[in-house]
Amino acid sequence: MSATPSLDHEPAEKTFNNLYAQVPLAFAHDTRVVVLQQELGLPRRRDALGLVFQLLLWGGNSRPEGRLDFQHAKRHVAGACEWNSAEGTPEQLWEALVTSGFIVSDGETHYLADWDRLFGAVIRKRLADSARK
Amino acid sequence: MEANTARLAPGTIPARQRPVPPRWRFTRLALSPGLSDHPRVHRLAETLGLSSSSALALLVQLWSGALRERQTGGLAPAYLAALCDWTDSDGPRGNLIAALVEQRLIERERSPEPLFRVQFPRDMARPCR
Repeated sequence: MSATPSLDHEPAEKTFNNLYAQVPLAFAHDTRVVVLQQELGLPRRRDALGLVFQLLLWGGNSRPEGRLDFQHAKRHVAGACEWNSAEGTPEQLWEALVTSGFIVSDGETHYLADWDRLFGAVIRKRLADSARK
Repeated sequence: MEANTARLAPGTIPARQRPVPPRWRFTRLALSPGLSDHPRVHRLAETLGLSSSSALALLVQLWSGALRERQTGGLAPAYLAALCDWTDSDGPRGNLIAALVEQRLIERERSPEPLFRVQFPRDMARPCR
């Protein structure tokens, strides 16, 4: 029996509380941040990076497996990023996140990119712990 | 005392030439899920005139930059500003340092010259391997 349960075997609705995002140290220098900054016309890279972290911290703890296939997802994403109407529409933010690669699609469903890289290890550990008990 | 005087000037020596602390294997920064709503982030944003998300990004740049450079203590203000990507157009460097000290995100070290140590509050972020 494998000691490490796979995420695939878990119900899609399962969520976890208090998940810490494990961010690689070089994440702030990801090229996608520059693309997002340019797409949204933001003055500083820091502004784009802030949007990304807001999105990831929200998504990690409220979206199972990083899925963004629910109703009004664009508005929820804009709310999570504290993106207000003065800066642009939720659709503009969504498009920029897709273009820069922070939201990815498999053709049917949109997902938060890097979700497994940032949260997968923590979730797998928790699944293994709960299976052991 | 000798160790203090022999300390390398921060920000002037490339990371590869600095002595690497033994067992330093931090490759990731674990961010608390409540970080974006943390009161210290909001107060930092207010003090510096930034949006909350920009203040959040500034902090993550500070933490991950310090860990990446393998130096979380003995940091000069100019070095801290560089880690935070803080330029003159953002405001005086002193404002940034004062705001970070006020929120206890950096701590002044006991040294004649102004050197600081980056803090990792447990309810905000922690280094991990």
